[in-house]
Amino acid sequence: MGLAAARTGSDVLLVELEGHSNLAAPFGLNQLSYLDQPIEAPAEGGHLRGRRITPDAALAEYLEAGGLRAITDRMTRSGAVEAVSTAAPGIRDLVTLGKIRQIEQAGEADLVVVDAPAAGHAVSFLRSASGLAASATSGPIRHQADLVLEMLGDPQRCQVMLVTRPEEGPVTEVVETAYSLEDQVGVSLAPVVVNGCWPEVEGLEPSGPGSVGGADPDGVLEQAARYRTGLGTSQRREIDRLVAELPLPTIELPFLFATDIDRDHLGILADTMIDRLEGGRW
Amino acid sequence: MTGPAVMICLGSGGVGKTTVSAAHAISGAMEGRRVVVLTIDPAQRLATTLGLKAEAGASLGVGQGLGNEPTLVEGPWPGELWAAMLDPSETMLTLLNEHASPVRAARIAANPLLANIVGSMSGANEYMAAERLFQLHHDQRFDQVVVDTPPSRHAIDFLDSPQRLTRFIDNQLYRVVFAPRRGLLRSVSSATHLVVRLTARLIGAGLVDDVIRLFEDLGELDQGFHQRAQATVALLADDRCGYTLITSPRQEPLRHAEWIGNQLSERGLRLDAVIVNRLCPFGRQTPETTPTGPAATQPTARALAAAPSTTGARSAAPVRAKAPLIAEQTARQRALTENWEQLAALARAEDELIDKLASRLEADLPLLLLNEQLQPLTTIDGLVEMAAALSKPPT
Repeated sequence: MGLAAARTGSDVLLVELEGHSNLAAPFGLNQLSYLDQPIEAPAEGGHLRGRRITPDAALAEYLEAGGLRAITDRMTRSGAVEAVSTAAPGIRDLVTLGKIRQIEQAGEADLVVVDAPAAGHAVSFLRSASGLAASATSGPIRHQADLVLEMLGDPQRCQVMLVTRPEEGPVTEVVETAYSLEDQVGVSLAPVVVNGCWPEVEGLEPSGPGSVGGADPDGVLEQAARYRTGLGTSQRREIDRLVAELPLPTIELPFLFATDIDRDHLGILADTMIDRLEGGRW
Repeated sequence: MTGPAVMICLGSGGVGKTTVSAAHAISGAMEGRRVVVLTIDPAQRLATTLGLKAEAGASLGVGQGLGNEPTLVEGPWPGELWAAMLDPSETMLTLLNEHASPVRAARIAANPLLANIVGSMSGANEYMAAERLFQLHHDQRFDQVVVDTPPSRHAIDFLDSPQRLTRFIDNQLYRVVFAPRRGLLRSVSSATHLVVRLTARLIGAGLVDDVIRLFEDLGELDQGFHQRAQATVALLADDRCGYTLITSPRQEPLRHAEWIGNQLSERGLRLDAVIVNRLCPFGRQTPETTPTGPAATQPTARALAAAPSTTGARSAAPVRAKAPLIAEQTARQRALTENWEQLAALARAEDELIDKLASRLEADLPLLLLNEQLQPLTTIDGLVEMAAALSKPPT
């Protein structure tokens, strides 16, 4: 998504959160740091930059911004910060979202793309602001929560792009996540990306009932063909179910027959996204 | 083969952990044991996997989906298979009622932060899973507990969660900072109050009051609460507890699996097996000559002897005869060839990854390979087949 936007001329900031993702790896870079760094400048004119926002760094920055640099260390050492953020875990998510909001408001990029937590966590991550707004009736956390809620609720400023795979579990999960996000967060949803769709091989289906299995039904070619068409049928069934259960446009990205994603693969996926999004509201 | 009393399945999302957990449980039931499989998956995938969908539920004599209380699953095994889905709030309430006076339990349950703690995924669900595992382990109805761990930001959170909570409750610093009104600590200096006041200024006084109240209450809990957490820590580190690492033949889950493996060994925990699930079924067993082209495109049948612990589970789709050499390339034949080349290249890349993985594993650690299943395993039969592959002794 980031590369697609950069290739269409935007200044894009990729944001990685805590966890094991490594957005910089396909670009041949080391893990991103808290500091904004350039990743790539496509010939088309845009820019792709990246940074990693961890809750600890965001929290430290938040405390310092409160003019409390001197006591931040002491509070951290005394366990006060840990105690509060364990008791109210949403605080870590909220300061992360607050930092993202600050970047957005400062206009540091045309588009900020955040690699958010996976499905189970995504809802609690985005719900942190409304959760804390309910338990903190006043004070800076409440203020921060209100600002984040404002951003999440404005489709011109923020949308969630759900990504899934054409398989039973992931499709069921993404449908549930979409409804939870709508009900509990009220954030606007972008098209759903279906990643890893096996491309069809034209002419692979045996033509006519007489030729089922071809000349040598036990041969490896026929076995491979049956495997491929079986996989394709099952993936198509899940995509159809997704479309039926979720009233959102979908973008299918192809499986690339690789065990790892490199820069060339990203280029193919970015171009596919540009193709699909062209003419749309993006 | 008698597995450990507790089998914990770890791995990143999308590798088929829930399916493999269910298959593990079935393989125990096949051996005549009474097994309960616990899932933490809110998407009810285990229910789907065990065919316990609403419509299937009626025929199996169970209600819709799964709950905190185990449900008996009927199937062609001499033992018993039970399935449960973690309900963190219910588990927390059970725990509180066991270890606090009714008044205190009610007050803790009413604290707005408790829902926040239990509802969030940052460690509390993992802790509740560990607690539920402990309860099931001591339930006389079961010989074995199989745990399908939650898809954490860090899969290892599950293991550290009881320690984290006890450390937190025990944290003397916390007590100094947040509980200055308690008798023992009445002499606390004004500097501490300053920290409390500043924290309140930063995050809001109401919230800090809730935190203080919650921890006053938790701190006063029956010693049993504390002992329970310690017993859970002990169980997770015990020989009764085995760990299975599940991954798929892709760089990222493999890197993650390796990281989890290292974390386990740093903690001195026993890894029982590594399972690479979802392989493209056209590697390894491929015949010597492929019908499609030069030898260079053949999957390298590198000797499995290099990884002596590898089983032949991958042969689930036996590739038998050689296809005839085709002289004239019709459209269909071109399609067949194109497809074969793509699948073979993928299988080759996967085999390379597996070889690398095998070379880094300890020699006596079983490495099991399972093929991608075309149909989602929503039938017991499919799971029974997978269970059989899992219980094959390593060659």
